[in-house]
Amino acid sequence: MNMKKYIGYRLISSFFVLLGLSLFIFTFSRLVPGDPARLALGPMAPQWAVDKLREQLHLNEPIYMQYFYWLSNLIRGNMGQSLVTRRGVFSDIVEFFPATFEMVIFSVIISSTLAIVLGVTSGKYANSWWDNLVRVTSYVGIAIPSFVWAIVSVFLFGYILRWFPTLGRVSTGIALPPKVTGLLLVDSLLAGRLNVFVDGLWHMMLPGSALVLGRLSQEARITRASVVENLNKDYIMAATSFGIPERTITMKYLLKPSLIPTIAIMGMDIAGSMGGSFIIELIFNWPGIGRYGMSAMLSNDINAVVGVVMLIGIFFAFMNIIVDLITAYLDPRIITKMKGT
Amino acid sequence: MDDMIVDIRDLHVNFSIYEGVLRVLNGVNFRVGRGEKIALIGEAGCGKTTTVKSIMRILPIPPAEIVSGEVFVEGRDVLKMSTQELQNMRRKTVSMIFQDPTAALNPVFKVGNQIGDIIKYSQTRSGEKIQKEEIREKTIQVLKEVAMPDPERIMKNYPIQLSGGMRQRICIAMALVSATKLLIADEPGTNLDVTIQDQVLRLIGGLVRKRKTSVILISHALGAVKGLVDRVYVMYAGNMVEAAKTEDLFSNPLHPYTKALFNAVPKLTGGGIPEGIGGRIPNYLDPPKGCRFHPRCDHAMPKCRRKAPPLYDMGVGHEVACYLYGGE
Amino acid sequence: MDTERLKERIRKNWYKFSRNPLSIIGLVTVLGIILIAIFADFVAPYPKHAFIFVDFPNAKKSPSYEHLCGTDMSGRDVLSRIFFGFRYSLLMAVSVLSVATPPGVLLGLVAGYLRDTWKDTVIMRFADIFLSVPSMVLALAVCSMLEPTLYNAMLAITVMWWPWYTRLVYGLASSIRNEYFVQAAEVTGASTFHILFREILPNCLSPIFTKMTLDVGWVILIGSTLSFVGLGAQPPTPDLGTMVSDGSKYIPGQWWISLFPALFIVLIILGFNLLGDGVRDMLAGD
Repeated sequence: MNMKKYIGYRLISSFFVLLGLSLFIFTFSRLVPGDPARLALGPMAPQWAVDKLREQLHLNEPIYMQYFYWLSNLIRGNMGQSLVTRRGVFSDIVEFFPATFEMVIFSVIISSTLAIVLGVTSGKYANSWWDNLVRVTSYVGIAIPSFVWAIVSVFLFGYILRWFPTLGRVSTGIALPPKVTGLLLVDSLLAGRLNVFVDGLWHMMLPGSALVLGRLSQEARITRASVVENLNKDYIMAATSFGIPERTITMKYLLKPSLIPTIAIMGMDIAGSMGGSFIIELIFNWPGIGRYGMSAMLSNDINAVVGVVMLIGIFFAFMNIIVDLITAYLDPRIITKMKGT
Repeated sequence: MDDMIVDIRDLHVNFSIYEGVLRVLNGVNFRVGRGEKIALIGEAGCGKTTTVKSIMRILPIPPAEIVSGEVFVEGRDVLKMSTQELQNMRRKTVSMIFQDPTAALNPVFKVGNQIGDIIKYSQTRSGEKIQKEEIREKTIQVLKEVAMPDPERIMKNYPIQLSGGMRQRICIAMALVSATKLLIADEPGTNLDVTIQDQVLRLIGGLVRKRKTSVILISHALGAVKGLVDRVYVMYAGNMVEAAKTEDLFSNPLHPYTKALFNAVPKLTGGGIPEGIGGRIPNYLDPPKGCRFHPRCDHAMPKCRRKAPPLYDMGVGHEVACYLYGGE
Repeated sequence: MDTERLKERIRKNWYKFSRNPLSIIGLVTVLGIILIAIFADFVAPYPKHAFIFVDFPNAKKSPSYEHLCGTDMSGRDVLSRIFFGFRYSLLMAVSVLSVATPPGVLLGLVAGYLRDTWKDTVIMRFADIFLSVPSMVLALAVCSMLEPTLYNAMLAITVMWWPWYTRLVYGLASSIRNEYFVQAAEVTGASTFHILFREILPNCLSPIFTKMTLDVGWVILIGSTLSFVGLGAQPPTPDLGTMVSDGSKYIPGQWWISLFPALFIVLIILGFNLLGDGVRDMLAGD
C-alpha cells in the first residue's frame, strides 16, 4: 500500500465514522427529556410561541425526518440556530473558534518543546537526580485534573502572587486591534500594538498553563521511555563504534526514532486539548468554543451542542490523519508492513 | 609490542544483573598481529563478543564493569584513552561488523545517509570539511566493493526495504569505511541462510586480502572459518584456552576442551553421531574456581581446582592454558 | 504441590512489583483510601456532617486542631466529608470499569478473531465513533443531556470508555489468533466460543488487568471533572468534585473548602497511577 491509497482509505473511513457520530449525537440530543423550545423561550413565553418554535425546529416530526433535515442543512453549511444566542450555530462557531485555537496552539508549542527537552534529558541521564526530579514531577502532573490546577493557579498566581490576571482574554477597556486572523496575539503584533500583545499574553498564561500541565507530563514520560528504550538499541552502539560524535548520535540517531511515539501522542493531545478547554474556558471565562459548547450543553441548546461536537469530531479526525501521516513518514517500517503491499 | 595491533592482558570484566554479578571475563589474554587474520571460536555465551567490545570500548558501562586488565591497541591502552583518542581509534583504526545487521542499522534513516555520516567523520582529518558530492562518490564506491547491485538506488532505501543479505553487506561497507587497520566481524551471516553466509564470508575474505587489514573473525562454526584465517583462538567461559596456527590447531589440538569440540562435530567419514561434551557451561554468577573447564574435564587434577592455568607456549605459536602441558 | 507453585509465583510477582518504591507508595495509598472509604463512619471525626448538617456559628472556620481541614459554609467538617467522598470516587471507578470492560473486551475479541472480514471493520468503526471526539467532550455532551445525577455521570463515562478495551483486545486477539495453539483448536473442531474464551482471552488477561488498574485514576479524574461542572453527584452528597466546585466561590477567603478536596482528588489519582504502574511492571514480563 502506498501513501495515496492509505490517505484515501483513511478519509473514507473517517467520513463514515463522523457520519455515525452525527447520528449518535443528533439522536441523543433529540431524545432529551424536556422541551428545547420551552427551555429556549423561558417559562414566561406563551404556548403559541413555543409551539411555533417547535414547528420551526421540526421537533414534532419523527427522528429520522429531523435527521434528514439536519443533514441536508449541514451540506449547505447551515448548522441550525442556537437557541441561546439566536444566531446561526455556524457563525457562532466561526466567531469563537479562533480564541480556542490560539490558546491550544500556544499551549501545544510550550508543552511539546518542554516535553521533548525534559524527556530526552531525563532519558539520556537516566537515574540521575535530574531524571528522578522530572519523573516524580510528571507523576504528580498527570494526577492533577485540569480544573484542580485551574483553581490552584488562580489562587496562587492570581490572588496570592498576583502575577497574572484570572479572567477573560483581554483586560476590560482595551481597544482590540483590527481582526486579521482572529488570533489576538498575531493580530496585535501585526497592528504593532505591543501593549495589547502583552495584555493578551498575560491573560493566556493561567488558562494555557492548565492545558499545558497534564499534556506536558504525559508527553515527557513517553519521550523518556522511548529514549531509554532506544539508548540500548544496537544501532546506537554501532554508531558509537564507528566514531560518530556523541552530539550527532543524540540529536540525530537517537532523537528521530524516539520522537515517534511522542508525535503520535502530541497529535492526540492537540485534539484532546479542545476537550480540556471546555472546563478551562468556563473557569477563566475565555471566549472560545469550549465556553460556548459548555454553556450550550448546560442550557440544552441542542443545535449548538450538535454543532460543537461535530466540529470537534472533524478536527479530531483531521488531526488523527495528519499524525498518522507524519508517523508513517518518519518511520518507513509502518507503510512497508501494511497489508496490500 | 609494536607489531601487535591488539594486545589484551589479563582482562577481567563483570556484568551486574538483578541476581548478582556475572564474572564474564576471567583474565583474557589475546593478541593480534599486524595483517594477521584471527578466528575467535567458542560456544555461545563464552565471552567472545564481550572481549571484542572491550577492544572498542563500547561495552554499556552501567551493567558492565571493566575490573582490571589492559587492552592495547597499536601500543596504547584503550582503557586509559581520552574521549578524543577513543574516537580517533574508532574512526580510523578499528571497526566492527555486528552480529545482527537488522539491529545494527537505524531503521528510520536511509542507508546512504548512515554510510555518509561515517564517511564524513572517518575519512577526514579533524576540522577538515568534506563535500556532499564527495561523500556520495565514496558511498557508491564502497557499496560497489561489497558487491551491491545498483548502489545509487540502494543508497536511498531504508533498511526495512532491503533483504537480510543486503543489510549484512551494508554493515560490512560501514565497517570498511571506518577502519584501516583492524576489522572485527562478530559471527557475520549467522542469522542468514547458509548460502548467504558463505557469500558473506567469502566477501569478507576477499576484502581483507585486498586491503591487508587485520581481522578478528568470531564464529561458532569451526569449519567455516578454517580457510580464512591464519590463527585460531579457542575460548571457554571467559578465558582463552588455546591458540595456534590454523593447521596446527586442527591437526594437533591440545586442550581437552578443544579436543572434545572437534570430537563433537559429526564426520562424513563415519563414526556415528558423537556425544556432546558432558556437563554444562558454568554459571557466571558462581563460576568454578581455578580452571573453569575442570568440572567437565576428563583429566582434571587437584591443582586445576585451585588456580587457573596461564597460557603455556608450546612453540611454533601454539599456546595452551592447561596444566597437562606445563606448570610446576 | 499447587500451593508451593502459587507461593513461588506470588513471591516472584511481589519482587517485580516492589522493585520500584513508588509502586509501594501507591499500594499503601490505595489501601488507605479503600479502608477509609469503607470505614468512614468510624474513621471520620464528624460522621454526621457528611450529608445534611447545619451549624452556622461554626461555619467557615479555618483549619484547626478540631477541624483539620476546616469547616465549610454550612459548618460541616471538611475532612469528614472528604472521607465519605472517597466512597463516591471509588464507586464511580468500580462501576464504570465493571460495566464498560466486558462488552468492550467481547467486541474486541470478536473483531480481532474475525480480522480482515467485514464484521471486523463494522465493529471497529462503530467503536471509532465513540473515540472520534476527545473523551471529555463526549462525556460532557452525554451527561449534560441527562438528569444530573451520579448514576448518569457513570453512564456517560461508561459510554465512552468501552471502546478503549475493544481496541486493546482487538490488537491482542488479532495477533494471538495466529499462534499455533489457536490453529490447533480450530483444526480439532473447537467451537468459536471455546476459542475466544478458553484460548485467546486467557492470554489477554494481563494487559486488560493492567489497563483497568491504570484506568481507575482516569475515571476518577473525569468523574470529578463532571461533578465539578455540576453534572454528577449533587449537593449535599459529599462528592469531591462537587465540593471543589461549591467551595470555589469562597476563594481566596476560605480557601480550605475547595483546596483540601482538590488535594485529595490528586492524591487518589496519584495513588492509583502509581499502583497501576507497579501492576504493569509486575505483569510485563509474562
